[in-house]
Amino acid sequence: MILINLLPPELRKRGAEFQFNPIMAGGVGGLALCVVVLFGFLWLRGELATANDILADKNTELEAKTAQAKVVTERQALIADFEKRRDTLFGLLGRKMYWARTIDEFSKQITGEWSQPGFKVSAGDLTISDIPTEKRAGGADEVRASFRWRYKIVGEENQKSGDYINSFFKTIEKGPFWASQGFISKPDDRYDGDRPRWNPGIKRVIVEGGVDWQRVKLSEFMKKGVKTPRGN
Amino acid sequence: MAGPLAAFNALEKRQQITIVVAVPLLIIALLGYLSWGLLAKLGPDPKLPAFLQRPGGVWTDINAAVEGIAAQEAIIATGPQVEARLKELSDEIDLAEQRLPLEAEKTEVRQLIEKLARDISPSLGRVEFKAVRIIEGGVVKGQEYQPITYQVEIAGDLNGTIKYIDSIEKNTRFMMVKNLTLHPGALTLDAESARVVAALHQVNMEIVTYVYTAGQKKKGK
Repeated sequence: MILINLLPPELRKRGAEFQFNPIMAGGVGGLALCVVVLFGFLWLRGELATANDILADKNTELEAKTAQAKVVTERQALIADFEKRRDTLFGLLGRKMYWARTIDEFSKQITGEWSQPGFKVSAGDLTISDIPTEKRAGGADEVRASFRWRYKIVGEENQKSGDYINSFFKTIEKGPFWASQGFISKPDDRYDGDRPRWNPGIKRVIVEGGVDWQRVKLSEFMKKGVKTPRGN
Repeated sequence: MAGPLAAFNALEKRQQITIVVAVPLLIIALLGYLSWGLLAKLGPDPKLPAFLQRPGGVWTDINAAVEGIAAQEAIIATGPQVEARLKELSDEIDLAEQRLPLEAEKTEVRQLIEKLARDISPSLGRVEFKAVRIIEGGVVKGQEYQPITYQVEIAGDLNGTIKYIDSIEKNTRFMMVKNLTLHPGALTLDAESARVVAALHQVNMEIVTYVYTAGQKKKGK
């Protein structure tokens, strides 16, 4: 069956028809923009809350790390104390000067051969004493000792007493005793003359005197990188 | 239901346009203002574009904390090296200190000094131990190691004296001969054998060692 709409066209029922309304469009656009800005605002709030949580976590972590680092720093501070103690200790041990071999070499020297024949030497009082040295930072790096002894030269010829004295000092200077034991300067540096006397009873010329030598040792433990000796 | 919408429709078109424009703008301005404040509180959040990152705020604190953590981690990372260095130094100190006597061992050292004299074999030389006196250096403020001096008096021939000094100097206990005086023995004529006989030399020496006094020393004997 065919249905015929007899109403005039303006009264006929129309289907949905979009009619552009600028005000409504502006309203919808404004609303959308508000929603976007609101979303941004809410996102920022969420970010702020997240950031506060992160900050709290980081601060907690920082506290823990700081506590651990403090332990390391305290241990590190101990290094300076230990080094000071080690340097002090090694400085003391390094001040040790060995005398047994020195005295042995000395006795061999004065009982040995002289460059000028015709005299012998006998030793009188021997005094070894420590000479205080100024300490540098970390301890002494040089040790000095005085080696004083009285000598008696007994020669065959009165006129050769000068030769005997000269030979006495020169032989000592060139000998292993002087070279190997760390004596400084020359054996006759402090020689201040003598008075030879002829002993008619034994027909010998006798020259008596005393010397004051100095022996120096460098405290090698104070040098960096040198470790303490395991033994003496 | 017709309330606000009907009121809006009843307005003139110009008024309607004004409302449609002004209300969203006001809302956006308000939200923008509040957001700007949030940006200031947030600071340089890496999720934000650079032009929105404001100085200060929580992220500045976070970055500072991260830097602080990195700095502390760098210190923590040196821990093994620090411990290794401490152990090395401690070992060196222990090794050296083992050679020094404890304060309570002064008499043992005195005994050792006497024993070393008696242990000199007659085939090597003669040594007669005579006396020993202990002189304490006194506690000097600031010095961890205090000296103890043993004044020793012996009589001996040259070989015996040298051997005795050598045994002191080479002993595992740290002892050093600091001062020494040797008076040669007198020469006399033995009537029976008609030979010149040398008396023993008189030797006085100061043997010095140190004790650690700054703290409790932990070591075995």
